[in-house]
Amino acid sequence: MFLTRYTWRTGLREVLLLLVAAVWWLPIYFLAVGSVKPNEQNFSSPFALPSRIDFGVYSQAWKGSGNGTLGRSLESSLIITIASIVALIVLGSLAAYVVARASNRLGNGLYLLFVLGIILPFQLAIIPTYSAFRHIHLVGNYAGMVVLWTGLLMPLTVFLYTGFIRALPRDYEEAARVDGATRMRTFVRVVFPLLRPVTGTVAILTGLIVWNDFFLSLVFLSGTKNVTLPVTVYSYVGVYASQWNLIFATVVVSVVPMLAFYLFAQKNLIRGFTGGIKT
Amino acid sequence: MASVTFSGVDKTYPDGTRAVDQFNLEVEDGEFMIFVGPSGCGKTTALRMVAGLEDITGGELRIDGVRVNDLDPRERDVAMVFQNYALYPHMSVYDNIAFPLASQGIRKSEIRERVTKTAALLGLDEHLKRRPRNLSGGQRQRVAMGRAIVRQPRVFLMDEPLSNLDAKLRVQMRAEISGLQQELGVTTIYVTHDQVEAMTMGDRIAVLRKGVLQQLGRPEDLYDHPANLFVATFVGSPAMNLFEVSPVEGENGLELRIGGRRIAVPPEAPAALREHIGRRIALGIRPEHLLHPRRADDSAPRLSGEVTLVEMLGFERLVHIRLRATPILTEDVLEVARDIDAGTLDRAGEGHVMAVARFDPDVDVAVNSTQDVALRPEKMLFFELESGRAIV
Repeated sequence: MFLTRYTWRTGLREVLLLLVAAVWWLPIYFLAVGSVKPNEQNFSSPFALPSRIDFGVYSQAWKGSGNGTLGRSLESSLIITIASIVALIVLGSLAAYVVARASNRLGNGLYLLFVLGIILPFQLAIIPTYSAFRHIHLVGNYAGMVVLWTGLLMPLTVFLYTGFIRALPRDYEEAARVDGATRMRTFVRVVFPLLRPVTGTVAILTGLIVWNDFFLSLVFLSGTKNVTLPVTVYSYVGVYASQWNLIFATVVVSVVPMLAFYLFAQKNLIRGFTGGIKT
Repeated sequence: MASVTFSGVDKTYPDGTRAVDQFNLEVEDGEFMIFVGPSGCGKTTALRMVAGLEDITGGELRIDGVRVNDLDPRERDVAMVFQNYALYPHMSVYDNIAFPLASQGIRKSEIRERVTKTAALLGLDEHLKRRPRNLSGGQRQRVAMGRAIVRQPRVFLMDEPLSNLDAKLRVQMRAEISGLQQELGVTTIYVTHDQVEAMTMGDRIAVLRKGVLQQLGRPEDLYDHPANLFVATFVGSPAMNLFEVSPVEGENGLELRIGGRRIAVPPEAPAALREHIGRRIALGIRPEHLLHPRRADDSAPRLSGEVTLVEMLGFERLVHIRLRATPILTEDVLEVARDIDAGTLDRAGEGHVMAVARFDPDVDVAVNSTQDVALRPEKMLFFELESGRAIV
């Protein structure tokens, strides 16, 4: 019995999807190819494959423009992003556990408060935040950025975790409590491992936001050596306006870690959105 | 091991629902106690109160004489098997069984020893590295049991642990759990809505309805001397046959008027029946006490009706007979019918009762024929209609 037969319609659908995929891949093609071809070819024949492949521009990009090197910015981006993700996962999952398992009225109230945090634009409070951060010496350093991001993305994190935890049967926790586990042990050993799918979602979503951010990094880190990749890339645009292969190379370097992380965790990301625990 | 005492225990939810009402009961040391009743009768709530998973709103709960109302579950030293087992899906069978021991901070070498011993006892040795999702229903059930017994707790609590298994496996596991409980001798409270499980497994059974204890006793007490109509209909499968009767004074003493006929009241009948002369009461008789006329004494009172269905079970023949009598449709009976066998309601019509008789398999009975049945006089039970209480 053939449930799915390959017909001309299937073929047409495949061709259409391949075309859509090609459109999505086009910018990445430009980036990758543009970074390794001689600069003048980027102007003369931008669509063509490189006449000569040259990785030298990557080492030039790595050395930097003087304001900040690509290597150092990559390090800053990695530190800020990873530390923020870890803080968000640890604090957010704990907070969401309390929100999801609190008595109905209290739980709903707290939940609404967090959801409100997603809606309100943080840019409204950027000046008082900056001034407060300066007072407590959190401007220009990693710790400040991590605190800032943890606060800003906590509502989204709690929102994602709470939805997942509410759908989680209470039986596991009750079994753990009867088995003699403390609340903390119940959370760490039983609940948190069951949150793996949504933890993947939180890590990717918040990681993307922090990694790609330009504005906050510019406001809180500019003028220091701790600036993140997007700011450095932007500074390259100013300095090397005519050297597009160099700019493309810096963009490739900034995109690759995220792309790799996504490919690594995409299964969890999808499971986190669709929910459910396999028992 | 320990005793568990409920003294006037209440559970009222914030919306006013009273799940358990003035519950008084003592589960003795080493006893296998069954809580049974239809859905929503409060049996699981009572069990969860012992586990500490449900707050107690009134009364006192004691384990081994110590009040535990306000103790956290982990301070009670009880183990529970959940209806859906609640095995930790991310842990191996070994880690699942070891979890309660690790939570107590027991040394790794001792944990290994005890888990291995428990796994051997339950036939799980080969599956220790597997995840719960790769196990069959029966194996998962065993892991849940293993997690409970590895701790050597004072009390086992089991919440309908066999309800997710197929019929054959259920019978097998029923025997295994009973055997295990006898071997370990741990005080056990077992919740079920299946009265066959209740009858076969427990030392004593507590029948609950709407949060109120209806009767507490050994399985045979409940079966032979139910305290009220609810227990009478709930315990036993097929259910007890019930007819509306009215005691009247006859020429040769007390008689029962039943569906236009009169039958003599047997000498074994309770003397209190006299107090109900002229009133409507319920007569109850179990299917095995409705005899084929050839197997009964000539003096046994008889009823006659049309055979509507014969179920051959190999070791017995269940004969459904439409008898001319008024059915009992009080709330006690209807509630059980709704919960267990909705068909009872359809079959009960005006002026006739669908009685079930349990005949020997070698007795040949044809559908649509007229069949006499004899009532075993000493097994007739009587109940007040209004209160449902047994007349004794």
